[in-house]
Amino acid sequence: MSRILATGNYAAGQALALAGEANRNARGCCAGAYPITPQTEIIEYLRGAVFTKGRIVPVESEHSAMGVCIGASMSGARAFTASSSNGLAYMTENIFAAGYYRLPIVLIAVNRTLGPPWNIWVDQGDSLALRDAAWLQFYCSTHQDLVDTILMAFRVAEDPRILLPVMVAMDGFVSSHTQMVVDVPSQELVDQYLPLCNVPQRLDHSRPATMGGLTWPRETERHRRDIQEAMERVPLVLEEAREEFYAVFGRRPDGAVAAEHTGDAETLLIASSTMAETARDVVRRRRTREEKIGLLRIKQFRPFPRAEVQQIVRGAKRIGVLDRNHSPGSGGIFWGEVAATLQGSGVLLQDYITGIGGGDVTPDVIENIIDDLNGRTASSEPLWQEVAV
Amino acid sequence: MNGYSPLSYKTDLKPVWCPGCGDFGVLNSLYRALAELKIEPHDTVVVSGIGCSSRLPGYVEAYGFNSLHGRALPIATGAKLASPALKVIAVGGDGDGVAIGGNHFLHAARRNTDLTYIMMDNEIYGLTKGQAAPTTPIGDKTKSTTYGNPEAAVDPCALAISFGATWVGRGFSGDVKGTAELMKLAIAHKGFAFLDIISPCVTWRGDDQHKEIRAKLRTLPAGYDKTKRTSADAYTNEADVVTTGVLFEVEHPTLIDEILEIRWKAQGDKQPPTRKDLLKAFTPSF
Repeated sequence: MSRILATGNYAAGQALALAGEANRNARGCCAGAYPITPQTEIIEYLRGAVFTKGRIVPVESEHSAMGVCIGASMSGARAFTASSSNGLAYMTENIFAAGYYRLPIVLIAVNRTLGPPWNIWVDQGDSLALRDAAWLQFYCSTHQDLVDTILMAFRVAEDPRILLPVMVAMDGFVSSHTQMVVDVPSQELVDQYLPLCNVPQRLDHSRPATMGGLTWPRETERHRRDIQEAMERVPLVLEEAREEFYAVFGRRPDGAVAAEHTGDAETLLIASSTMAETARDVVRRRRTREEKIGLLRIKQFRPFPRAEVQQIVRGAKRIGVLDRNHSPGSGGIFWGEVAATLQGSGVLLQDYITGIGGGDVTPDVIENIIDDLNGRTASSEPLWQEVAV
Repeated sequence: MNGYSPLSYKTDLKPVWCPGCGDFGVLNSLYRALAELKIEPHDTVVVSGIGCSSRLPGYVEAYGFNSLHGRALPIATGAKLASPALKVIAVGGDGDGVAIGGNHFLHAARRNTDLTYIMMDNEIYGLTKGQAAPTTPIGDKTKSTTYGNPEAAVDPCALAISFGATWVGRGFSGDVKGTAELMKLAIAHKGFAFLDIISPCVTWRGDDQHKEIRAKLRTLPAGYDKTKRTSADAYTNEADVVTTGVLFEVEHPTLIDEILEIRWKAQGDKQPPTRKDLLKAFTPSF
């Protein structure tokens, strides 16, 4: 294990390379690589990495990058790539295909707002637009969380009970281009943690088969239901992956959610990604003033951790959801999921849409949100907490 | 607009390109070409994709459209077909045009859509900071080809000719006057005109790129037959020289001509459509 000072992109590149190399005694690894700000450094890192058995293929578009991953994964290789924003939008057709083919591909989504108008800074609209693509989704808040989640992602994706692709998201620039100290495990430990990749439906000359044929409605219904059932097995498989992670690396990464001072909290914030780290500081400061306030970080968006959320927020009187994303005509996307999860509970639930297009959500912004939430007797339509930069 | 001078096509927006970028030369050539052709800004649409060079529409006093990566040509096609009286100029980089947008290049050319397509060709992805593009020479080390580029480069002019473009030329951004002359011919051409402009990226292809390209410049020989596709074979996919000039030019009905011809025949009319009919057919009544 080595502690290094690294950007989020560099850390993610290292984690992907370690996972790829760990499959050298099976069918190796493969990635399609196409640049887009702010993820480009990940694919640059991979192109410079040396693999015993692996190919990183520079392609002509994001659509092709995921196409290469699909072909590689179908051939039994460990496949991964990275993209952002409109790159993910262009990749979308193949992203759905990867999910529906049940291929355990890992994609790093470096969150960046969708254009036009063109803007390279963070919000989660790009990856959340893909929430229905039969992929697991994790939103990371620190570089360590990112490295650990990427390694767990391969284990969960390739588990025969799951066999679904995983998207690991981080905030563009706030995470991708800032440096933090991060423990990057040795190849030996990663080899120990990750079993050799086994894609049961891989192309095999002893079992010739055509992938993606024409189906009747009953087969399509069954296919979708199978995916849902696999999603329902994620909590169990993720828990096993965390325990094994602890056994190999000596630390236990966050699971689907992370709770901070939620036990007796009357006021509760729900946040994700780096915004949750800022909110954590604010909550800790308020706790020193003996305010009954807590924070729930939602890390796993798909499958949505309903049971965990219901259990953690049970005693809260008022909940504020911080959404760095927006579904036009509805509101914040995390808020929509939380509202569906807590329906009928009677708790005051307020949505705050903030930091869209990379606006800097500072502790002061979150303080204002808490003051608003504490003064409420009823919720309103989603509120826009704009931050000027 | 009072009079036509290159400066009158300049907007208040300051280009964000690096000092020494070849795209400044392309922009100045375009100002000059528009002024000399006396094209009104309100009759002109400049459509781009994504990349350093695709910032260009904002710097030209005309309708501008900074669209999606690789998608300038379909949008330009829509603008031209909906309003045939407009001069539609699509611009973008080599990565935008021959990588992610390569399929559109093929179809806009083969349809002979009446557009001008200007490619600012720097042999690299500049905006994402220096990754190999399909135009990057084989063997070159870039940020995405750490140990050397294993792929052979394509020549956009050779592609355009094979795709069915009816006017194909190559210029050098360091020659503002010569490039402006080529632009004037491309814009005046009826049909799909493709102009590849070698536009050095001093940041990711080296400070000496201007000098190196200038040393490689050649012009077409006297008596060159630009109406034959095979003539261009000797002046495309060149290794150590860069030949500028009009490589290929033929007359062929444009997409709109073909559509009107089919409509005319289908309706059994005796007379071919007039310009007025054409505008009526394509301009919405609201």
